[in-house]
Amino acid sequence: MRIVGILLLSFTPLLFGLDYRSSLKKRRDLFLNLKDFVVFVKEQIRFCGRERNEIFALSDINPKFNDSFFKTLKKSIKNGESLTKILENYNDIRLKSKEIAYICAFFTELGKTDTEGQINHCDYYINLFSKIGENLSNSYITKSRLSLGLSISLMAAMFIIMI
Amino acid sequence: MDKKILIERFNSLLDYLPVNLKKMLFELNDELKISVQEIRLRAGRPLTVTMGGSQFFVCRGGTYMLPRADSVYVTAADLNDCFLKLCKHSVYSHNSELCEGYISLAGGHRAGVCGKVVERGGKIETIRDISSINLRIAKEIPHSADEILKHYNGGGILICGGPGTGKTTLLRDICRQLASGRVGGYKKVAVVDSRGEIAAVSDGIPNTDMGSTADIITGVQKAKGIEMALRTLFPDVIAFDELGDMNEVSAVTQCFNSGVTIITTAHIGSMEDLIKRSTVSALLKTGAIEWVVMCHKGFNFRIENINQLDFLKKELAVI
Repeated sequence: MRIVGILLLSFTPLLFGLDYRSSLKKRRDLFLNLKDFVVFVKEQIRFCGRERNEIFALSDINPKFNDSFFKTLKKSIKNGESLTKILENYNDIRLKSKEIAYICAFFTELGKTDTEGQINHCDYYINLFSKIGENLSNSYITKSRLSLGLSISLMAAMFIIMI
Repeated sequence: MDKKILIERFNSLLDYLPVNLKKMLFELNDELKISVQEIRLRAGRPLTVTMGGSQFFVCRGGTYMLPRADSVYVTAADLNDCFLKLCKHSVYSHNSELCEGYISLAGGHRAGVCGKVVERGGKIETIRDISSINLRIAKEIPHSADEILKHYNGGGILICGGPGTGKTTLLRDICRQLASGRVGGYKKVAVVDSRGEIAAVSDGIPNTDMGSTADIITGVQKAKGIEMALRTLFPDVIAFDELGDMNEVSAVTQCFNSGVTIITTAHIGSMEDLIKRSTVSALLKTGAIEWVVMCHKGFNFRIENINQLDFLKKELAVI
């Protein structure tokens, strides 16, 4: 039982490290997908003049834009729910408050101006989401290795100490 | 029109309103709902409805001729909410209509939009900072044109009258009856419905009964639409609402020369004003119009054959 307890305690830092790594990866993938989604929206507005809900329905064809996050997002926008609350309570991807604010700002202003205004709006968020995705990508490469290394070291140290 | 349908039409328009205003209007009794022609929202001012051409202020439980302490006031946020709902949260996709000052709605209703016009290079780009919205309820009245078509034996028709006198309603019913075989067989009727008020086409299907042999062109300027219809649809009749400029009169001339009958409407207060408005007198000079229908408030109208209007014969030398 003692050995089991020691093993469980020792693996805890590794689990934290893996969790942090996974969270970085999910956020990175989300922002890269969001950037692609905004590009799609921009094209639909510019070349087809489709209404917002039509664009959402059309985006369902692409599995990248039809995962659980996008489904939740589109549903709450259509129902007029508070996007901030929905994203804060979305447990699958733990977004930072600034990231939530950026996502909400994009969708809140979507559809509120003429075509030129909407294209400018989309361009701004394509750049922003692209930058965030890039930063998260770099973090994933550097910090995830570091966190994994640290957690393995901690795990080994704890194991040795407790043994 | 069936009372139940009229009430449903009124209630369907309430979905475009903010929750507080929707609730207030939903609670009006059925007789009031049937009589309402327009719902008017103005920022910072009481909510009003138009009935029988007059304005009434909406209060809890009813409508009144004068504003009261419990009148329902419309806020800027209410207007913004309503505007976004009218545009289905896609202002950009309704921009061309907005530049004309309106938005077409499903069911044939129309929302007139008032606000700050943004111009660039002399062209209207968009309207923003919406200050008032006029929701006009479409009312289809089948057989409203029976009295007109009783006397009708061919030739162009000009339906005249002031705002809210039923010109479009009559135009719609004339088209329906001609395209339903009720007047000398099924006629090929081409309807140039620039503003979507006549046929209220949604996803390619008219929301009003236009008869079996009507073709509807939407979203195009009238003169262009008339030319398109003439060239591609080989119609017996071309109908359009609100005669505007000389381009439309030229298009009508082409139609008349091709043997196509024209049915249209014009904002004219009296028979005598027919010659005062340059576009209308130009239209009458083409010879394309044989019948003039003068509409008055309360859906009263009078039909005259142009050959029997002596003052016109003298002024226009039509015959």
